[in-house]
Amino acid sequence: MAALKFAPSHEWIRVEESPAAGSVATIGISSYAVEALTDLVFMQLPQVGRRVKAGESFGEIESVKAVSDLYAPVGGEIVEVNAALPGTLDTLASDPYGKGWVAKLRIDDPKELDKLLDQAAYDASVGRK
Amino acid sequence: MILLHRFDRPADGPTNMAADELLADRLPPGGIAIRFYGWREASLSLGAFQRFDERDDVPGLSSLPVVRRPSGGGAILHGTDLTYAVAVCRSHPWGETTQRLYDAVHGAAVELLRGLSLAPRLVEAGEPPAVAEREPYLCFDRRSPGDVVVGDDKVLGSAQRRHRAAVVQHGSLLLRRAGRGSGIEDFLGRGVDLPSLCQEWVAGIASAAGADPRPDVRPVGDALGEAWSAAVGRYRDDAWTRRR
Repeated sequence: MAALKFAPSHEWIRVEESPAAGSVATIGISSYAVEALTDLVFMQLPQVGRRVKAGESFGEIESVKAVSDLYAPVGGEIVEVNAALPGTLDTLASDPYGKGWVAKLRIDDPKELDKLLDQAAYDASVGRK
Repeated sequence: MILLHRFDRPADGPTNMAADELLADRLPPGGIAIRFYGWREASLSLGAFQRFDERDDVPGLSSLPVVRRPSGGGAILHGTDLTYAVAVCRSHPWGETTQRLYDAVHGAAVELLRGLSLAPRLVEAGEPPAVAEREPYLCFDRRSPGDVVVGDDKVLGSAQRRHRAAVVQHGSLLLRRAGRGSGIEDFLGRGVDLPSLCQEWVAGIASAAGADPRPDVRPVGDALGEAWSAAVGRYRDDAWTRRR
């Protein structure tokens, strides 16, 4: 399985190369961010077909006291969303890098991946060794 | 570090929400800004994802002007409260987690209310909700850790919008009875001087932050040009208000 990369805003991305679809990335929320949000109550997924730029808000998640934006780690077109996720928000905590994925995006410019953090750098940025 | 503070004249919902949004956009680097304000008329503000139509299930709400906040939490019936918005850079320690900012502002409020001879306390984790079964529509019928209560009545609740660069926390200090609960003026049996109350609250927050409090005298409203009109327009837009 391809390695994860992370945005400083706590989204993870995993790129799968597909001859038919090109570079499609799966995006989710890091376990650190999910733990920090606590008591999740609602999630707004993006529309399939929507185009987003790197760093643009593509979804929102609400906990008991706060609403947080989700930011696209790279630019591209949303090609699939995890439609079951808003009804099973516990999955974000129990399997954040698997069944807790949020959306899949066809990447416009793979070079944008170079600006993201690898696992070790991200863990260091949030104080995890 | 600077803590900018201002006490604005009552305005309508979209104007208030726009002013709060731009408070965050114009934060001094690493700083904090807080704005206290009232409402021109009795109004309802909805949490970011509350269902618009559910307000019809609560008597007395349907006829009120409605604005939707970008922050979370329950609906607030404004007009007998003191509303605040505090914006903090994400790089500030209070911006790191939801609870830190919540506790800082509410902790200062507890000290403020004690100074008025009230007996406030913070709701602790694990306390049973005041109203059972499903989550109540109105903020002041809800309980979550860190809310400020006097007796059994919630008098201060807050909720946040966490952006990449800044956190905006909205909160409402209940002054007079609205719905089930009592406000601080009901408990005191007298009115309070709001500008003085805000000054003392700011002093407490600044002390907790180790910040230098300064009046925020920057212009707001039309002086901000397109950014202002765009923000007001977003909060007047029916598509935003009825988004869910």
